[in-house]
Amino acid sequence: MKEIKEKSIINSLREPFYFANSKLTRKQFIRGLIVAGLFTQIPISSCSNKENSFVEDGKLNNEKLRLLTSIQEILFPKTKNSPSASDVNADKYLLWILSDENKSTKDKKYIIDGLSWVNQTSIENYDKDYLNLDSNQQNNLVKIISDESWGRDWLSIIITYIIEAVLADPLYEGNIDELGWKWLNHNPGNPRPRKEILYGNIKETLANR
Amino acid sequence: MSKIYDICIVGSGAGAGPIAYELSKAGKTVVILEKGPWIKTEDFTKDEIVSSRRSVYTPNLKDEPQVLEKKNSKGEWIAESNADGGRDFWNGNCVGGSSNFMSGYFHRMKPKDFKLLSTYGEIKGANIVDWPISYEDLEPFYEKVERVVGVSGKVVSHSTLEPRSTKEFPYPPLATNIVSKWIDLACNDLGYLSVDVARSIISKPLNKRNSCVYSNYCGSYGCSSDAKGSSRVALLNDALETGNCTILPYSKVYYLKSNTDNKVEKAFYHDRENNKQEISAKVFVIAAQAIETSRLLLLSKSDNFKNGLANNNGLVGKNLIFSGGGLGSGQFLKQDFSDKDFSALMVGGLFVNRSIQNWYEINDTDFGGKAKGGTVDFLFEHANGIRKAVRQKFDNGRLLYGTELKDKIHSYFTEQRKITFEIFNDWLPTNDCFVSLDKDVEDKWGDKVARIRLGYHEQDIKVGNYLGEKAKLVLEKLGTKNIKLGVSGSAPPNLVAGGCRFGINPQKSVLDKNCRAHDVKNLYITDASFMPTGGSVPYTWTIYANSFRVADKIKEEFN
Ligand SMILES: Cc1cc2nc3c(=O)[nH]c(=O)nc-3n(C[C@H](O)[C@H](O)[C@H](O)COP(=O)(O)OP(=O)(O)OC[C@H]3O[C@@H](n4cnc5c(N)ncnc54)[C@H](O)[C@@H]3O)c2cc1C
Ligand code: SF4
Repeated sequence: MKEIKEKSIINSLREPFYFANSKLTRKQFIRGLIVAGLFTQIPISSCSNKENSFVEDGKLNNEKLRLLTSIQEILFPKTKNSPSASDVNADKYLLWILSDENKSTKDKKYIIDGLSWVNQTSIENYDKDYLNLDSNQQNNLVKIISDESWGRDWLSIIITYIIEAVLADPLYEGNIDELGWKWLNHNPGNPRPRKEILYGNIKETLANR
Repeated sequence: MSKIYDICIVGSGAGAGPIAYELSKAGKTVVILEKGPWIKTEDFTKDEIVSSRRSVYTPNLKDEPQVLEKKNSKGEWIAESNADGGRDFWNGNCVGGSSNFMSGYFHRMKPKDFKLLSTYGEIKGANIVDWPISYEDLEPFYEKVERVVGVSGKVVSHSTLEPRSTKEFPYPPLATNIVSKWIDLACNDLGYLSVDVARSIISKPLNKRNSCVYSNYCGSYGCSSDAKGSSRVALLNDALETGNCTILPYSKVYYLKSNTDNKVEKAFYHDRENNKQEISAKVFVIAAQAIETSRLLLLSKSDNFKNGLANNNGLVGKNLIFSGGGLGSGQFLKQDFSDKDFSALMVGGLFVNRSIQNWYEINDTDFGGKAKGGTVDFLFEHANGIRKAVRQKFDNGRLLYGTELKDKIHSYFTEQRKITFEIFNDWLPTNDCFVSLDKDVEDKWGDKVARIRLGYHEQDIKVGNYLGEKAKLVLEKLGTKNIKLGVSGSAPPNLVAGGCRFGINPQKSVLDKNCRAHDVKNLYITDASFMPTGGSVPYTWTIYANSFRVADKIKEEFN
């Protein structure tokens, strides 16, 4: 997994939105996964106008969603002056990412597979599913995972999307009440976007003019 | 019979704008085929997701990949498609092209840049040549760009200042942050000269364009005040007002049909609904940005041009160049400054606009004597919030999370400001940097995609490091901490030129000195493809100026 790479050049800040191939699968994990029968549909309303087809395909289930929310909260907890992942709807934001038709199935699968790898690591270490761990154990597990190279890469992607949820325009339905901007005293600039020209809508809006 | 336009232009960016502007004003019928959408000023907002984190202004790589060739550790060239992600060399596909998104740091090339070979001699492994025109030939057009496109700045006399036909810029310099004064003082102490950087941003209104509102989000963003000198705003709007210019967005040209008389007759394109369409014209001008221009010529094979249009000498796509150099940075830490100074430093929106050109020509025995050097420009780190926060994720390779990460992000936003410098030096043309067509990979329309070999010359790194080490001293003097320098042979996708170099000798160049193909009587190329060497500055002022120059030649042809 390559990190989103920075260009060492003149203000070219268009950071490519990509994931590459290197550690996309953890074969040893996938082999050991018990996936049958787990899938149910999750009723979520994507914050874009897109159908959340990937989720509805049944590849992300309720347990995984709860696991995701929990991990996100460990990665980005609440403090006195700052919002937590759940304060900015980071889970919903990630589901929106997973519904992005421009994002490759492989990239989406990587994000979802990571949730299974986390659970597998939990079983290896505690002989329990992640969701049955107490909060100390969950915190420890995240520490263990972050010390492994696959875990570091996967968590890093999850953090990137939490940060997007914290600092993107509130129209993307993260950054509720501009909590992220207020926390960092960040001025996002003007003019602000309108719904019809958000990512997910802009290409269609322009094409229909 | 379908309409025959006087001029058909492929692309609508910096290379295209002056042609459309001049020829439509001269009463000629102009049609512009632009592959991207037409995004109007009101649809450019400060949405970081759209501008910087997803492919919105550039194609989805699944639909339009490129193949990049890089050297592996064994010295072998390895090609890889970026369809699944990775670096790409698209910059801005919409009416106005990447000129909508540029930061507008504008520098003229200097007289010696036009005579690199005769001034500094050969460098082994580099295909350096002199230009077939001189600085004096281009100067009136540099000046025209200042007026028509709009360039603001202040002339500061120094040893490598280019000769100017006017005393001052038509637009006064933009307002600057307190740091600019500090840079002046630091440079003064070091015996360097800090000079004002011109910007393609107007500081007072021009016709329907407002002056800059200091939005703090300039590079990578479209401009909402129309102050930035994009081709769309500065040139195409005027061209449209003549009634002679038609812009067709969503029109991706894939083939130029030439006849037995070696003239282009038609451009074929895919339209919005992916139907194939054609346009006839008397003169064709290609300005699709260097890589795509070469690709289009290579795709346009015919009986007379079996290896691609204007490519009977095999030079189309060759000698691609970028901007050499790198990036340095340092942090102003709150704890090191008085509250008053730190508050002044944190004011957003105001520009830095300072550069050093003391080493445009290096004359240093430690370096190896006289050599071509380059430019150092200072600027603040971009204001993009997500980007700044995401970059705090790691500490020496260790992933941070939880309160540790949050504290670091908070401190980064409130207790420091990063200043950077960018180094521009020549990217020497070599046999290892070129565009060809990939044999296998096709875009969504079934057209072969560009394959880009990304080799560089070691001299580029040597010069970049020399300049970088000097610039670091300025950051030290300014009192910044965590000073870093990165110089590499990694090609900056947005600063690209060459591939169809111009020259006198038809055996050694693709275009003649007026940027007309030696072999194709009615084909001109007006993006940066014509440049055999690029100078040690960003290219866009030169692209605009040259395109105005060629516009005059095309007008003469018509007359
Ligand atoms: C973020 C950023 C910052 C920059 N900052 C600076 C700066 O500070 N200073 C500076 O000098 N330069 C800067 N630049 C570079 C500057 O934008 C370019 O040098 C300039 O726009 C190039 O002009 P062009 O005509 O070659 O290409 P463009 O302006 O990109 O125009 C090419 C057009 O051709 C279209 N096209 C391509 N293929 C086809 C086809 N087959 N059919 C139809 N249309 C086609 C494209 O969609 C595009 O609209 C920056 C660029 C970027 C992206
Ligand atoms: S208003 Fe000024 S700073 Fe903002 S995008 Fe336009 S030119 Fe750049």
